[in-house]
Amino acid sequence: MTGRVIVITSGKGGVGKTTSCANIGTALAKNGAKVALIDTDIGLRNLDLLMGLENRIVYTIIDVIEERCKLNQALVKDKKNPNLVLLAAAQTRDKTALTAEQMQDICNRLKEEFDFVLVDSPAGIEQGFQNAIAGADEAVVVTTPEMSAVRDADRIIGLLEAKEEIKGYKLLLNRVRPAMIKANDMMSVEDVTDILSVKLIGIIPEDEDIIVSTNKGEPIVNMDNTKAGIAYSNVARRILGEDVPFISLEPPTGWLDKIKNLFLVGANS
Amino acid sequence: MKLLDKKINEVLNSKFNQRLNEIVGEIVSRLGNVLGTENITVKKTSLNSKDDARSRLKLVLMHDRSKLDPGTLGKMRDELVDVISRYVEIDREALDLNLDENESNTIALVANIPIIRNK
Repeated sequence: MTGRVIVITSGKGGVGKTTSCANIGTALAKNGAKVALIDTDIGLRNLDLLMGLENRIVYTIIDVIEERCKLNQALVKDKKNPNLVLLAAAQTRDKTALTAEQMQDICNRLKEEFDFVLVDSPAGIEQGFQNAIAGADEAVVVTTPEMSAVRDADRIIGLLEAKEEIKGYKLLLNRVRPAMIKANDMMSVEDVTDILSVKLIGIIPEDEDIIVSTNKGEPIVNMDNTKAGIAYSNVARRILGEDVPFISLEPPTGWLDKIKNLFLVGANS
Repeated sequence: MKLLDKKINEVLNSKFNQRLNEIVGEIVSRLGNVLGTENITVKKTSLNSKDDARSRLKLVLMHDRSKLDPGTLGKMRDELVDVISRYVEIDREALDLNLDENESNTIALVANIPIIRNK
């Protein structure tokens, strides 16, 4: 079997790479795919926390390349889905502990066993980023509708285009606030895709439940009826080849609805 | 009549009436906004800052993509003025050199060089 290696990257930090990696991976596994997640943010690992697996990490990617354990021993199984595993980053080392060739080798070995290998990239464009994209076939570029994140995404897209091995990349627009877009105070989905001239793989609305999900160490796709959870599930289905329409971005109730609500409350009291 | 007054007072004091007052207050303030008497609050809810973001971002990306920062562009502009001045008399200050993006997303260097007269 030859799986697909997809790197989740962004340039700018804090736009949701790790959250996206955890959720897309979990959603793919829920659809029956065999999925391996790799955290390449050596020294600043967090994917284990978002997956709620921080207490189960024995070996890391550095232990694998320095031959202190076999690759299979370092793969930590997800709490719920046996089809999903995590290869954690080392916390006590830095980005120089790994080379692009070693990363490529690990990706090649994993894609023989798994349908999907999702690589969580660190922020920046230095060695850590170069390592993360080394074994990738495709990329998901995460950005938010903010100038600095879009500018950094453009830089990343330039670097991805220069790399022949990467056959395609798509944009994941995160933390979208429909009410601000409607008020003309946030760039719209079209504004961002126009400026970057790139195709979309998903639109994730800003959702407070993401914080709850992180607190619990439970990816939001495992929580019922959350805006971001539904959006991430849709991303996974699109990656699997399904034609899923993008969710509507209608902002919640305006002042007219508020007055209606006041009347309803008044009638009840 | 006194009985009616009492009833009216009861209604006025009821919770529902307080709600109604709040609603009327909301409607009056909203109407104020619509009529332009409280333009400031309207502006607070929308600053239309998206267009600023869009145009600033487009400009900065043109510089990023072309690897030409405003300083280099200025230097190039000065050198261009020197070269062209050898052949035609131009208005040094009015020479305008900018980056522009055309429909196919390619970046162009666009110069506008007003000539004073032939030498």
